[in-house]
Amino acid sequence: MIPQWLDDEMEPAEAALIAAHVENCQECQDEKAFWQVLGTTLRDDLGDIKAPPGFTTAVMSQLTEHRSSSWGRFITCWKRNLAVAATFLLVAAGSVGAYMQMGGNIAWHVARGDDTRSGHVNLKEPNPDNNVGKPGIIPVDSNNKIDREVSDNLPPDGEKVDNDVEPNNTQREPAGIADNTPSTAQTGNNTPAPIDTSEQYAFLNTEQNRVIDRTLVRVKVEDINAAHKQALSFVNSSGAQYEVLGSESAPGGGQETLKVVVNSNLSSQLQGEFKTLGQVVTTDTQRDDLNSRYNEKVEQYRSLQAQAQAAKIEEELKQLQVKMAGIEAQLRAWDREANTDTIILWLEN
Amino acid sequence: MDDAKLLVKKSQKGDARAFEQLVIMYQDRIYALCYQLTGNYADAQDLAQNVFIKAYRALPGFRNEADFGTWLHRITVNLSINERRKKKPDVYLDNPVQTAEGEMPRLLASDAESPEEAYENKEFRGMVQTALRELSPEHRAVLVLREVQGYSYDEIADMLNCSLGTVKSRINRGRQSLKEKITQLADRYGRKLPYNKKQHGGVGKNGLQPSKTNDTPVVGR
Repeated sequence: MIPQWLDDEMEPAEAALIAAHVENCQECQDEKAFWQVLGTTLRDDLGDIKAPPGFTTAVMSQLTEHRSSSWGRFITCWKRNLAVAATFLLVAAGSVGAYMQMGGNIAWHVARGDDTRSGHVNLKEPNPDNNVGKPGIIPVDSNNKIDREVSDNLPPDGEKVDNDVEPNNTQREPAGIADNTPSTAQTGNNTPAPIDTSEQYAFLNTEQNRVIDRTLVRVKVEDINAAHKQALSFVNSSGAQYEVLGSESAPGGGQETLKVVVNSNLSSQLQGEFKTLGQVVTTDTQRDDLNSRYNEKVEQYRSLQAQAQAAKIEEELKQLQVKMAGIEAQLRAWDREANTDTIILWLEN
Repeated sequence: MDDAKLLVKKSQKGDARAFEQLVIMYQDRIYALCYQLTGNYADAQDLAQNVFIKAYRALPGFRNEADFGTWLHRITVNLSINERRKKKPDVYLDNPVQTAEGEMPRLLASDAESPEEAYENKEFRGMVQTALRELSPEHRAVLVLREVQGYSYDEIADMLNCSLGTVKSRINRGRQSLKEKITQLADRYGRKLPYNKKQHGGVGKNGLQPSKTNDTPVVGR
């Protein structure tokens, strides 16, 4: 209580009470003296300390090393990207199946594109580091999420973007599979409800050419902020969606990275516009042909569908439906992505 | 716009020389706080460098209406607590001296006083430093922020992203722990402290009551 009083962190009435008491109490005067001496000792011994010579130089040299390695890490991640994305999709599909096994009904959400792993990035994710900028690098996970520096302060208003990609409004709800699960369970007997084979599944169409294009455009600009604004106006004009993957200032220049998802038919035009922002340093396009993997998955789906139609036991039907929901989610994700191109715009000065 | 804000703005646009000026401007304050939090120069140097690197990475998101120095202090304290949690205690030249009679606080130089006073003060300073070093990272941080840096309880709560009640509790417990450790060290070496160790009875319904005997405990601790 005496230290809090000395800290001047008490209500005035309480502080007055303490002051009156201390004036007449030798022990409290001793206590007061102890904390005063302790405070003075701490300030005297710890207060007047100077940084050693060369400190600033050491800091700046570390920062320079950091910047030169940023592009190196980025391009390494870029090259690894396709393999990682493919792995991610397999894992995601497996997770859907596991969730269904636990009684969840994620399939409907996944098939609608609600699955956060399918490309949504929430830039307002909570910072576990007590409001301090998180220095670590978030490694590539999927869909070109590359080395994202997270700072404690949020990006300026208007930059938060929902990256759920819905290239058109004609996407249908996943009929049959997930919706049938609860109704099957409610039948009250062991006869599985038949799957609605009359429903035409667009995602089972193997005639469509499904290729995913991802393009990296690295541009050296005069003013990053101005280039950023100009890039956003191009993005808005094309109806594309974007997110800020990383942004940092650095000795010798800053850097900002945007991920843009655009309809395939507008991709070339948008890339051309990005290239007008400054001097183009690098462009690189990766093309991932999904057709063989897609067709293989469709075959698996049809096989499971046939087994489900022949299933006599409800438990068996449920298990088959779980597997089908996982495959359907994966096929729909591929289908959506094949209609769009992803452009990573790296701005630096 | 003051110098720091202007430099921050330029740094956010990628001006390296501006950030270098910020480092020069704040290096002593940050280094001193790092020393206060770590208790040794080697860790202080590492921590201070990490603070500026972290600040540099987070700079694009820094809102320039806030005080840059306070923001750096926030980064420093949180980094320090996180790193001390991960790290095992090390042995440094400025740690206590091990003697045949046990551990002795390392004596620190002080201004000229009478030989006896000077010796007692040096011993007290050594004990304070030893006790402070033994506190938990959280208790040490709040005591340094309050006692050395002079931040208010509200400012500390904001800096550590916790409630005012938590800060009060941490400061109170930290002080209690610090005093206990200093008292133990003084008892061990038969040294005097600059206060009467007897405890006061505390606050009664009618406020603090002056004690009549030396057996009455001292207030509030």
